Amino acid sequence: MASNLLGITSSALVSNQSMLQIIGNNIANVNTEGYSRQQGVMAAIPGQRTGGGYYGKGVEVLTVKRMYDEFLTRQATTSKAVAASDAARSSYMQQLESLFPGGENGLGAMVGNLFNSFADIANAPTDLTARSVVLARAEEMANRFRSTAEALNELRIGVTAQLRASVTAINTLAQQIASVNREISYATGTGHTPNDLLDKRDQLIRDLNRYVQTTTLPSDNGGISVFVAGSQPLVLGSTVAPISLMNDEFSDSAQWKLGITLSGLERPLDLSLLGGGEVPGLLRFYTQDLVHAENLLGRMALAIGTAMNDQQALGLDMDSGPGDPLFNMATVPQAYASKDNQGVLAKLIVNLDTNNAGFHTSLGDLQASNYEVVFTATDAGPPITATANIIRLSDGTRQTVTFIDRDDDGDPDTEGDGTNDNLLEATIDGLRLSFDPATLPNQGDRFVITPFADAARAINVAFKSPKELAMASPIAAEAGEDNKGALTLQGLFTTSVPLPANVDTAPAVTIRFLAPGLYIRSDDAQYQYFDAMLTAGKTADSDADGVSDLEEFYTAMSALDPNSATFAADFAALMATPALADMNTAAQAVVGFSSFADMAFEAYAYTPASAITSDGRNTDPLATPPGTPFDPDAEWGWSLVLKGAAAAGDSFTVGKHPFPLLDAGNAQAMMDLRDVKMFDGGPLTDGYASLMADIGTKTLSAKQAAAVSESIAVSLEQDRQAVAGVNLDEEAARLLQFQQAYQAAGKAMQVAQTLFDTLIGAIRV
Amino acid sequence: MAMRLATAHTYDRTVSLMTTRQTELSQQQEKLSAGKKVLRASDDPTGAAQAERAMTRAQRVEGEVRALGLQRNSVALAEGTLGNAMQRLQEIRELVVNAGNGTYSSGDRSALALQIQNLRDQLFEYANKTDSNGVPLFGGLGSSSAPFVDAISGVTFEGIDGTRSSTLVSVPGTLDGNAVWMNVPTGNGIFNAELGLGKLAAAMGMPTDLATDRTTYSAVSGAGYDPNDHHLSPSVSGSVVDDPFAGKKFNEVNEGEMWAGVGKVVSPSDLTGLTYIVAFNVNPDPNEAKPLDPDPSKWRLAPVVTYDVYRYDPVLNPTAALTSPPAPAGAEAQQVVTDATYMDGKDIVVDGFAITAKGMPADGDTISITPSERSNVFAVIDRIINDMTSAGNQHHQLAHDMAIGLAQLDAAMDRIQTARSETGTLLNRADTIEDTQEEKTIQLAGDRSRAEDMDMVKGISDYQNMQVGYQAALQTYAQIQRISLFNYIG
Repeated sequence: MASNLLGITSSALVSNQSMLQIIGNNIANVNTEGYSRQQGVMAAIPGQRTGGGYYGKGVEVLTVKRMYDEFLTRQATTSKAVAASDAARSSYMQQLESLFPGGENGLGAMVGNLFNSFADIANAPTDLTARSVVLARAEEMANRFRSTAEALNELRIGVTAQLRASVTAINTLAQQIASVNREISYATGTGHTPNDLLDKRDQLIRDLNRYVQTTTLPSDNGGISVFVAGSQPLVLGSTVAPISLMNDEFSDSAQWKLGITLSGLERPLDLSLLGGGEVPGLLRFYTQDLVHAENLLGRMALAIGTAMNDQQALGLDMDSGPGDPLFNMATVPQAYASKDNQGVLAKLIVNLDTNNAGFHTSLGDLQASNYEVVFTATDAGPPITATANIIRLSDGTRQTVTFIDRDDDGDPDTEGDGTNDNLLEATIDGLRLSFDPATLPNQGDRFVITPFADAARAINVAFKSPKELAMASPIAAEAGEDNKGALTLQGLFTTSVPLPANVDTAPAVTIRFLAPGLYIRSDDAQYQYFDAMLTAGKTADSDADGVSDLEEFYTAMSALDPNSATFAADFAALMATPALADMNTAAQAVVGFSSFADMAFEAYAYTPASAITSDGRNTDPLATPPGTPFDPDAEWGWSLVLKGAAAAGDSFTVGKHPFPLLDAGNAQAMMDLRDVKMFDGGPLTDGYASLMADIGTKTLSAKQAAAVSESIAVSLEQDRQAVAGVNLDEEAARLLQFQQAYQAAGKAMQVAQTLFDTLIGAIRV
Repeated sequence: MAMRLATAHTYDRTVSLMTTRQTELSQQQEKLSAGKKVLRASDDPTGAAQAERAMTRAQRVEGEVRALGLQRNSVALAEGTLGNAMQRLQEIRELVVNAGNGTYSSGDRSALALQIQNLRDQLFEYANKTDSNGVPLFGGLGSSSAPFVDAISGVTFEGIDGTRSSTLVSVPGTLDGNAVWMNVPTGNGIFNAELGLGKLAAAMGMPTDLATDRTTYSAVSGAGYDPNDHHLSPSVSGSVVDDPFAGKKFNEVNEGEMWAGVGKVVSPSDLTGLTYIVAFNVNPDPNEAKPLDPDPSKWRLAPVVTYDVYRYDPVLNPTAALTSPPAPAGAEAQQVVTDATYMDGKDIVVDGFAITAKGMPADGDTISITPSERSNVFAVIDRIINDMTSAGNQHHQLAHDMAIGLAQLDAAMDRIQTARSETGTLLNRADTIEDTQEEKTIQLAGDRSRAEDMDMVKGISDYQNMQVGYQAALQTYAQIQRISLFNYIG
């Protein structure tokens, strides 16, 4: 019995000591990262059967258990990956945001300053100081565009460097996981779980997930397979497929993709499948946020620069020559072709859309986005056409466009190769895409357009001499000398300039009022009849009532409603009245006269403060005589805004400006650009505010996402730690518990000793 | 079962929480010292955009106010210039009144004319005056640096007619020179009465190449013309029996001593705007002994003076050309008054207007009445100078010319005064705009402040709260870390 007691107590001593050792190990590793709390599993040694029942034989430690919850571990790991992704993006978004400060030192203030400074020229057209100030402001603005673009580029370089480092880290971690896999498979043979190796592997996977989110699948031999992007095997047992940074299929340097090399073949991983992790976060920032910011900035530079260059071309400089461009602008880069394309089209040209006169009238349609073009059908014709789906990458909007030959539009030489253009063209969002029909794409060929990539980086002021600012308007509007009404000139805007050879011969156009609400124009085909009629009407008095035909005509016209559907008939009926017989005769005497109803189509309703434009005349080819379309090469393009009430007989004439030296009409037009609807429908000068707000909103949401995912990660980590982490108080309690057990076992052994001594003593006597 | 807490994690967590508190505290401090609650757009994207827009607008208003200042200076300068012009015109007027003094010799009048010429040159300089930037004050919609050109044929306005509209933020800095200086009506503004046929001679079908001062002619070609006899012979042709001029004499240049002044409108509704000729007939009293000397001053009895008035109506004569003055072809006049008795100083009233003829006309003397035309300030003065120096001793002509000259000067002063009051309106408008802009600036500053400025009271209070929170976190952490079971294991 006694020896048995000795055996039992000795097993208790050993077991409790082991337990204390385990507790000690827990205490020792309280701060070890990745360490999972261990617990000894004690079991009673099965008892010996005797006549008097079963007698226990003591205690033993069966194994050391790793306290661990696989589900919680996986959740904590995944949430950490998401948090890492959000944190990486948030941190870079904050850097990006800091490149777009508001207030007096921001780009917005510089744009505003530039436009406002034209006011001084408007008041002092010959003041060279005012002009120099404008040039200096233009320089400042261009510098700021360039330096911001440069900073974006530096950010891009920084992100690339970090991406490369992270990719290396992923590959290293993958290698380590593979080797731990190997070690674990060796160790699993012993029948006990290699707790520390498992901890190590879990920790490696946690580390890996900081870079890229993974899914894991255990295998039979204790190894674990690690997958990225859903199903791509990064680690299979002890083999690793290396991850790399690769260009996308369009070889756009502003786009990186994560690639994985499987069986020697590098294939791209879809960013949307990558999930969390620092690398996907960085890639999202790099390929989306940074590109968006660059597009916003580039669009702003391109639109402002182009609009000002256009306006400059519409004015005269101090040497009375047409204005040269104020800014040098980058040409819009041609589209990137997918390397999988089957067709021969390699050069898809991208330009800003222009009107026939070569002015960029669609700048307000520009969207800060890249585009993907997918050709859906091509027809070798004739006529040659191609249809494409164009996807706006910023919001995924899809449009179908057809490329057609618009060679009749008097295209400029788009390619700059000096040959006669015969390009197939399509327009989208203020852009014009074109290509040579000899190089037709195949169905399914894809291209990516990055219209704004270079715009901000390249903008700079083209000249140094303030005299070159074209601030004078080349045309002027003159009120008729005998105007009786209260017409005043609210604005005259040049919209196009004829070819240099035609500048002196381009006709002046007179707007003549037949009634307070009705005018005719001298550039209309029917004007000659009006002219003959009005001239004759001054002296004619068909009904001999002492009131001239003209006066009677004017009075009768005031009663007609030019907007009425029956206006033409009313007008013809009016002209048929006997009181106007002489005027009627005079008009009909002019060769080519067809009918008064035809003439009525060339009488226009006048609305004060709304624009009358050079191309607003009747160009109906079916009219008799037919109207001639506005020809920007031979005529002045203008838009005239009159204010106030007209009286019958009043006129305004628009023609070449006789005194351009003291004129600053174009400076005023430059100022008016401030209110042009430019960026997503907002006025030009509000463009920067919305840009800031756009980036600010994205930054805010990135910050919030980071905060949320961080708190989720923390909470899940807490849950994981609740199972796996060491609590010192708990360990202290257990230390006491097993210490006491150990002491008790010692005491029991002492009893056994006493029993033995008693027995020996009894025998000696 | 209560949740276990991993000691190391608790420690990490507390440290990370304290770091967060510290960061918040430092950010709040940053905002406090900048005085702004929005330092970065992401602090409040909407607020940041609002502040940015308010700033852009405020900048713009600032520019507009500065431009308005320049425009106001130009307008004020124009106002002053017009004031000076009024004074010069007043001086001219006084000189013209003096010149009408019958006791002045032609030499005296030449001296006066010289003074007027001097004043006129000053006025011309006013008209071409430029603002401090070299832009003419009276350039209209555009001009060279000197919009008015003083040519031999008279002063012309070489600028572009018309006025710019005021906008909500600006006033036009230049006035329409044509309207201010070049738009003076002749005569009394409604019609112009001239002694003799003047330019109507051509209109009435009188050939202008007949340089004689005793020209008479019929409106109907073929009517007899005898340069020695001022009377038209009764027509020999049946077709001109109705000729209202038949038997009448029309002096292209008057021979008697009669003058008329500018005339007046008595009944605006009856005005026709047509051209009239008043022709005087001086006949011997029926009791006068014969044969008669052609000179009425040799007659014994006072002559019988009557007048006829003819109305010339181009509308009723559609074949007459439209040139001004009308070409002679087919010109025809209607006789509207026949043989009315003339009395010195009594009004001759026709079709709503009246002229007051004074003095003694000679037979065939005429007064031509044409619709008022547009002249200019300088032409009016030039004509006065010309009339003064060329009048010789014909006081009746001088009296008439000076009366007309004064009326036209008054009209010119009226124009200038009107223009001056327009500048006053513009200046008022500029003041109103400036007030509005000032309010706008304040409002924009308020908008911007509301959008991005820190409410200091709230900011500091928040800061203190955060500070207290941070201190509490530190203290609790220190307290809790002290509690451990190990402390009780002996």
